[in-house]
Amino acid sequence: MSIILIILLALAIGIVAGVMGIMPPSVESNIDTLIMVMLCLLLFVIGLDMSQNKSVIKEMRHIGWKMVLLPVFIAAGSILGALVAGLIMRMDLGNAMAIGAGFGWYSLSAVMLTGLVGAQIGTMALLSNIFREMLSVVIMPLVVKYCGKIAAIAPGGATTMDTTLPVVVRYAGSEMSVISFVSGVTLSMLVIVLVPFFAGL
Amino acid sequence: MDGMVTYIGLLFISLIVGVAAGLLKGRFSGRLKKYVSSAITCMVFVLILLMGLKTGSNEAVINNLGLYGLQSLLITVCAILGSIVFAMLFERLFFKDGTG
Repeated sequence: MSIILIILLALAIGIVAGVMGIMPPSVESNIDTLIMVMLCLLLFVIGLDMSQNKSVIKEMRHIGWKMVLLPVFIAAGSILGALVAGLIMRMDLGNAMAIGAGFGWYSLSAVMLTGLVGAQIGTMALLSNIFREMLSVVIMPLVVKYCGKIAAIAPGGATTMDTTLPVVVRYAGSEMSVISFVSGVTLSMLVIVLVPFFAGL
Repeated sequence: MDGMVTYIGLLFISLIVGVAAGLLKGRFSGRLKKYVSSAITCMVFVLILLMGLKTGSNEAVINNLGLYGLQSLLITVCAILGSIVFAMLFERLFFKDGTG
């Protein structure tokens, strides 16, 4: 959870600096390019990190092909849910679905949407996906009790590979750890594709 | 839409180059792994800071932050409920018919 504090601190500093207008003009006029370059660098380093994780493919084989479909269902459910929310609020449906397709990966989805659509949708993506991580931790015991162990993988979305993995294991049992991890990895890959896709609709 | 394709392409290429570079390098030492993980934290910090700057300099967003917060929460609740319903549907389709 401490990473969330770092994120909120960065956001607060950025917003305050932006409101006070103390951003250098060279940064202001190139901010979208800056964000894009930083994002590519970030994904490069995430790739470095992933290359050291040899267990992903082995674990996927271990649980069988059917389980690989679970994150696809979780993705579809999240996006449909966001669509319904968009209909209720009469907001742009593509943007609503793009926010829902962040699957809890707030840093990436928020920065992508800030660059692609604008500050408003980017901020909403950040808030919505931070809420997703926090809420899934809070509701986990209830989900396991009333909806079952497989459903326990759903609320955390992309975060079930790291931050909410211990919570899933604690309430749904250690037999769900591999499924939880693989689902989180798959959903993270989908974030990279689906967020820009829905933002472009 | 062309911009989107370039965008996705650039992000994916960055990711793949990262994975390839890591595989070429072989097993990372404990020290290098630490560097990688703090690099990720630092970059996320800078990125969110830039995002905050963009948000803070946009008056329309700042004046409606409360409203946007509520709307974001509604999207979260609906997305979580949708994902739970679909996960249960998945379980019923693939694991309750005696073959799972």
